Amino acid sequence: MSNAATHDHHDDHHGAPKGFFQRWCMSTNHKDIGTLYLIFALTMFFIGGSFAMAIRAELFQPGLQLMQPYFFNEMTTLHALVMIFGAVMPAFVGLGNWMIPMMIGAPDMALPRMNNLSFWILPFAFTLLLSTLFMPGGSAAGGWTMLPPLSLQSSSLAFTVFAIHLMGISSIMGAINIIATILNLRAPGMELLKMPVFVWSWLITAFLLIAVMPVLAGAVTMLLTDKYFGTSFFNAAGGGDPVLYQHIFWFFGHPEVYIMILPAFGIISEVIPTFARKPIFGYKAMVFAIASIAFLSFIVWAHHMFTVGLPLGAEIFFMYATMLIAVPTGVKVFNWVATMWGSSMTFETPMLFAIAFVILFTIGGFSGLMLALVPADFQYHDTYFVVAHFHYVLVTGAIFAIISATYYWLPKWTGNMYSEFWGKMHFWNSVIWVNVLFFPQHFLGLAGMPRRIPDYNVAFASFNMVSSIGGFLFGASQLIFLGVLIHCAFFSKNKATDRVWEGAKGLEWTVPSPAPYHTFDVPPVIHDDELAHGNVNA
Amino acid sequence: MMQQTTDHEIASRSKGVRLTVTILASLAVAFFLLSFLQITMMK
Repeated sequence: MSNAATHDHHDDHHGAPKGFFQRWCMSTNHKDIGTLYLIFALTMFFIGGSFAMAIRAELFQPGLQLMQPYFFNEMTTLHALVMIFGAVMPAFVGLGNWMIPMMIGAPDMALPRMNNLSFWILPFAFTLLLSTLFMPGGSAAGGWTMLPPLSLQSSSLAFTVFAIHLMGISSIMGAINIIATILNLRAPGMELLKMPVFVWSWLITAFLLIAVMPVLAGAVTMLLTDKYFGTSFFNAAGGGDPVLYQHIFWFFGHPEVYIMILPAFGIISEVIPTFARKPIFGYKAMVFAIASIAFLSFIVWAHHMFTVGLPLGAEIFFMYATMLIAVPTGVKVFNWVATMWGSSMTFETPMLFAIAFVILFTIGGFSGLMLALVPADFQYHDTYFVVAHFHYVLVTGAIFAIISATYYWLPKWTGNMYSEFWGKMHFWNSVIWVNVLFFPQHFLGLAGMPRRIPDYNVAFASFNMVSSIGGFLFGASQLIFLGVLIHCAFFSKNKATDRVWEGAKGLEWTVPSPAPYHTFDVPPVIHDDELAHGNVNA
Repeated sequence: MMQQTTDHEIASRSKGVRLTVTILASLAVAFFLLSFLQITMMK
């Protein structure tokens, strides 16, 4: 009887396809696609970073030194689009691709061919987006929010919108794949509340993506029809309202912020217990806190719009709703601290980045609370204070978490240990210079320096110079990261053990290092003491 | 130690994946259309 047929365990019954094209362009293997995503994200990180260097170079001194204002605006716009959609989001999808199947005992993603398509859309989307830099009239320069009527002046709007559509389709397909994998392909015994927090964070993030990426697609489609097909969704002369665009954009935009930070919470919740050699404190509270933050992210969008002239009742609602997010976020921060409290911690590079995340992300959270206050926001809005706030959240938050995850799982991916010395060099350089880069921007904002300007009052000169020096050195520090990655992947002689870290728990550490091309063709037996966070139901 | 997977379980998983994808893809399309509806109603 066919139902009685069984599948024997063969982790390595066939390896990677021969030939570069077959392996990397036609791949349906979650590990290879994860690698592709991560390499793509790193490439975009350096491209987006080079735009940031251009911005900081121009702002090194008051006056126009290096570029015309329109090019400066192109740089700020593309820096944001490339970093958000090209670096941070694909990095998390790459980490999810690599680790989620291994963490839940699945053989691969549920839809491997769609996984291939999700990735290969991205290089075309970003080629399209970046190619607008070389077009007559230049690229989009109205900021990543693309607010009308300013964004409608761009002659390359159609290319930008189409690139965003492609990114959105890729994200939605990736999210569907992740949810289908987690809900259907978990090994028997891997109940939902036994899953690693990283898997939980991605499950919730994927639902956010499915809910909000189509809304962004709708908003930019309306921009397109307003410009080329004579509609008046956002055109006041035709009966439309540009503020409506802001509502619909931020209905996408605020959950998008959490799309970029919830997987980071998941990563930190894996790294800290490993190096603290303790199960995470309050596993269920951590999971419910992520879900609460995700829910609240849908009802706070207008805190980005306090100065557009909202009714007072709406301002008060969005202010309190925003402040409410501090509660589940506080639960997470206190639980990370409680996990470390009284533990036998060691400070390998992933742990250093994780601890820096907890401290520096919290600074970004606190400045977020300041921005949530309506009367205060009227002062801070569109100043460098906002720039400082979201860079603390996204650089020392999301990107530090991605770097932490890379160091944490790199030995499992490559089978080699990275250089701990150079890892720590990378950490200390990053953590010092990122603060030199972004902390003075708080002062600039409080003193009234507006964001998105290529020139500024001489009163702001000193802090801008300090910030630019920090920026150049932070950018240079990331070349150490690149060197560590290349050395680890191709030249390291220091072989990794299967478990890699003494305190590491979870299914991914039960497979050899490097992880075989195929893992868990048949589901593993789940032992509670092997679960990433123990049996929380016991 | 590995568990055994039956064909029945594999078929059941495939059915689950198809159902999940159908529901999620419908949700994505619904949210896309909803953005137009929202704008039209707010105008």
